[in-house]
Amino acid sequence: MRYVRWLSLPLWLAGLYLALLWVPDIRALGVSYRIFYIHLGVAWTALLALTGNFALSLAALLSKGRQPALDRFAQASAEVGLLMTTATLASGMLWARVAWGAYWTWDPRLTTTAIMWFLYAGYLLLRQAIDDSGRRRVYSAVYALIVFIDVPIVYLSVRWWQSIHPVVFTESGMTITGQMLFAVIVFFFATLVLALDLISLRVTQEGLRQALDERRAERFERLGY
Amino acid sequence: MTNVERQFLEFVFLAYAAVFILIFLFVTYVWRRTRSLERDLAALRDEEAAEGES
Repeated sequence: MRYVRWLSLPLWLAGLYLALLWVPDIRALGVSYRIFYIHLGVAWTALLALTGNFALSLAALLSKGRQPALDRFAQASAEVGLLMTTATLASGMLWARVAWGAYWTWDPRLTTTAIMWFLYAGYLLLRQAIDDSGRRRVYSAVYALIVFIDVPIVYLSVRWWQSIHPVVFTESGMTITGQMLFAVIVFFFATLVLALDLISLRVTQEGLRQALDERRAERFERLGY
Repeated sequence: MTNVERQFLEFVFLAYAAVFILIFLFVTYVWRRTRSLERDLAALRDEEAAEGES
């Protein structure tokens, strides 16, 4: 993971160069179109992180507590997914103000993304509310399996309902090509690597917290409290 | 530069800045919390070592 961490910085620098300087402007939106690159990077990473949360929660549930690390990874991927969803909403709202003239509209893509934000904020609150680690693992995993239904809905919302949100993947292929596609791919990998690094940091931290809790419990037991 | 172009640039800056600030706040929180846990764990080990000696 240490090597992945060092890959993140050059990828971000390359992504910023490509997105802000290298790709040409689009006539209708001018320079404001460059928000698209960071918006797409964090949005795709959010959906992937939350899909990871679903897979890890399922694995944690099936392992019946034999692999406690799975639960920690599930929590960390939900946190990073929520962070990236917040970044998606923030960058999207700013872009919407320029492109559509309003920070927020009740468009299907925007609405389902906002719902996703609240659902995963609820997941983290649920985890905080339960002290017993066994119950926390089971309840949060079941909750994660249920709320994951919104993640594919976010992706498919622009196809199912009438939406003014731009679509990148259509039935006839991708709507972006050439320089734009290259910049999108670099920015996406930069964000993905950063997300993996953040998940790794959070898992390490949770491991430390658990070690501290166990050591404190052992000590209290030894001292007869 | 026209007013519209200036506004476009401002929003590009705000969008990138917003994402960077969010990520920076998250990383800062994680690092600070990790350092704090490491300190607590080291202090606990020291206390245990001192108890063992006495």
